[in-house]
Amino acid sequence: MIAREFGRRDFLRMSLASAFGAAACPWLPGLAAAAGKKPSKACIVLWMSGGPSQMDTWDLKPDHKNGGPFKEIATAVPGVRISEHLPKLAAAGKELGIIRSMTTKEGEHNRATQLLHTGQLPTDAVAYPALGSLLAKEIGDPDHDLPSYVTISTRGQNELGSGFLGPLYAPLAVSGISDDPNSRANLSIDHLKPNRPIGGSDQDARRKLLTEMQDDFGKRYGGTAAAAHAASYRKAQRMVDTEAHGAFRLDQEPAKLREAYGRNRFGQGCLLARRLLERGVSFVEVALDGWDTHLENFTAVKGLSETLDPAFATLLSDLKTRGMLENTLVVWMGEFGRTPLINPQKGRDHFPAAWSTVLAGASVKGGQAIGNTGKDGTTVTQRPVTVVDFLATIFSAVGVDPVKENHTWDGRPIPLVKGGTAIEELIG
Amino acid sequence: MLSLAILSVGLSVAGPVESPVDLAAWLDARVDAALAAKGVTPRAVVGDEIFLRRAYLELTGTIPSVSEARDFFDDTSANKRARLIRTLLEDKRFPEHYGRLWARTMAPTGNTRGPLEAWFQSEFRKNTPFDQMAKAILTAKGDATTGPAAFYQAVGNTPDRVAEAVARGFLGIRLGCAQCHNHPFTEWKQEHFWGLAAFFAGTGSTRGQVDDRPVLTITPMNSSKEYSAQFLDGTAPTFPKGRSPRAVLADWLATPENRFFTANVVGRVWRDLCGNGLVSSVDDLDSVDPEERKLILDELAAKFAASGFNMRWLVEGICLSKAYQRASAGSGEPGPGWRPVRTLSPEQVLASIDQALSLKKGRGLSLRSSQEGRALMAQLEEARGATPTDFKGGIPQALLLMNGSTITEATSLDASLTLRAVVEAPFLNESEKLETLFLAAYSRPPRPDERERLLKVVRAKPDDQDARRQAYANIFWALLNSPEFVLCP
Repeated sequence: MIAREFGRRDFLRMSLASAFGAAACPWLPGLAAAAGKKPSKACIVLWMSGGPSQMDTWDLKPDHKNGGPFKEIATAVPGVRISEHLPKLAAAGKELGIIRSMTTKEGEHNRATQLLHTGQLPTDAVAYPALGSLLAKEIGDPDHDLPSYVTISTRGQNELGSGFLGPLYAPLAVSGISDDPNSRANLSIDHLKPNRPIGGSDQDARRKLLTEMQDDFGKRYGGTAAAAHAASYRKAQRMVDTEAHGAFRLDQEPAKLREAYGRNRFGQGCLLARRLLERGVSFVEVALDGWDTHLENFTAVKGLSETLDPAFATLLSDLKTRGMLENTLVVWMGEFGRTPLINPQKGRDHFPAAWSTVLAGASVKGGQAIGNTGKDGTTVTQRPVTVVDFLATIFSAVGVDPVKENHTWDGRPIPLVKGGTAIEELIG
Repeated sequence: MLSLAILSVGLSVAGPVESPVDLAAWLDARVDAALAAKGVTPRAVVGDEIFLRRAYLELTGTIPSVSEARDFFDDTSANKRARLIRTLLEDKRFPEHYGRLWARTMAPTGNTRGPLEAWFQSEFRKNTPFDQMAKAILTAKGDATTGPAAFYQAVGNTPDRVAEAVARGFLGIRLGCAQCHNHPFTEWKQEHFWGLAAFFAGTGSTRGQVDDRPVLTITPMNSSKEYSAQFLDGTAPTFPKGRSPRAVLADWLATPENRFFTANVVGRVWRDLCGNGLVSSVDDLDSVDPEERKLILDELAAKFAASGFNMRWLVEGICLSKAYQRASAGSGEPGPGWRPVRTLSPEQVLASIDQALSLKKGRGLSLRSSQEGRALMAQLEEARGATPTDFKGGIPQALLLMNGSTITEATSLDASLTLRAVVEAPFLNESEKLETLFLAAYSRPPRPDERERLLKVVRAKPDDQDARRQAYANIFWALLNSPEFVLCP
């Protein structure tokens, strides 16, 4: 019953202590030091919010009436063909592990979003941590000045967070507010400096007063909300002290590279993701919204592809040039795919039964397409991949054992992924 | 497991309506019995300071002003809590706050909630019986930008969206996933979802209008199956001549006998007031164990119906109870015995900053109408927790409060009239100045240890007048950024 006595408060206190430099496992102080500094793994998720159409991106059916108007083009990998609107990704085909045989059982946006991020459907019983929080804990560096888990433009994921892992692994959300395309492209965190100049000694005095008040409130009332508040302020102050290591100074990048990513929120978000990784962030999720194409699917998917293609392809080449790709997993996914059948509004509706995702980088063996969805795309005919198989592959690709367990505050063991087997062909 | 028998004979509720005091006593007896059965000792009733802040935040959506707080603490009468509750229920901020709460309940993701909020506010101002509000919404016609018809615009006037919102908002049942497939956990089938949606099949044919075309069937997009209007309990309605489909639905839905309807309202009101549900989930009443419902929820629901769906009566009774007034704890189990430390909603944070900085009454613009206020609201919105106990403020919100213009100016002696008025007031001594800042931010005077510690800070450089004044500014900044400002114990 050690777990019971070792309650959530203790857990948090210990984690907070580790954030200030003590070892995360106090009873194993020598282990981390003995292991030496291993190359740190990282993960970028490109989140295709709304459910992207596999039929018009990675798994075209040009010979079937379900196929729609898009043509297929060859990729750098013989025999693997993708949409004509993804030419740069086609050229980068040797990096891509395309999974064409995703099969899941949830077709409602919020629930499916939760499913793909946690491997679980929402439940009141346990607040399951999102993928980013789980990986932040496994591969993140709690001593670092920046939070391990950053989300960019991911609206509507309010129910996703660190769950029972607590606020230390909660995401830092970066979001643009302006609709001006240029300012949206200049993603940044506002208010790193006080709006009015304040003397250095007053700054220090304010922080000291605030820390006393936080401690006092925490002791008096406790609770997860107080701990979350303290954690967010502590991290905010570290961000102020380091100006987020200049991560948001996208203007430091060559104009040509910024153009290559695409001068839009998603393109610049991908560039920001790389800069965040360089500064010690372990997990970044960048969202591209608009894939819920019930109406006029083809117009929408063409436009989205033109945003996606340069951003995703440039991210891969940029990471590779910098020697980061071998340690960085890039995941392309949405919450589900879309119906092979085209509806009367030239749209496609929600379809979890047979759809596509893509992995690249880290230990992923690129240059292949896994699985098959037959002639009409309606069913997985070969190598079905479930959500837990997919998540197990993600963890394995960054060197984390998917059966590793976390414990809820009352001591219940919860594996990173429940069931599921990593896709052997993809990660060897 | 789910019982589809939504309509029940109901508990016997004859006799005169109980007073709110009676209701509070009944609630306490039930809650205490439920706790005793679990071997849990109820926590103590909180002191005036926490009670005051809770009552203001939960009944008016904002913290009290310095003078409102002083008035309450100075009042020595024994029934001052009951009097405050009554006063706040009659305050114009109560209907404003409740209108916002219910508009959000009915249309949680809507971007066009304003007109619905305004309509709810006008109804709460009149204390319209809740069943009448529900019926007004269910049968609203005409311009979708005003009146109860604004509900349709707020949720998106398609039969599926309206059905989803009606089931969740009025019945506490999440049917959304039965839209595409049979619900994985409960017994809801697609014919339940589309059967409910069929009542609204004729409402959305004209842009900007809520119509009442007498259509009784619906064929979902991408399907060839036609569904007929049916009630959620599976019974087929009868449609008397001249009665619209929606009116028939309203007759079935918003009644004292519909125990999902009544339990949904009292469950949500309880959670809004106490921060934790009477049962495990306010959004999934269908999955709640009937035994758990029997403890308090079902009977409270019947009492509410017997009161004539009187919202102020329900709110007053709950606030008068010891259960409402008990001390909070950082963690606990779902159910009536645990009062969590709550996170203020985005609206409450904004209104409280306005109040603490005297922005509304004094000089300066209310935060709601400033650019930074809108930015803060947008960030708070993105971080809005799923339950009243989640704090998802995160780093951007912390940065905005630490460094944004609103708080830095309010805590700058050059820029803030409010702060200068306190710091330079000739009639206040040091201790009283400190107390005023505490009342403005925390709605309470400093505790003795805080007073002692902070007066030392003020007096650190006895000969430096500027340092002394700046010390108050620093203290005020820390108060506004501290957890006690955005969390309610």
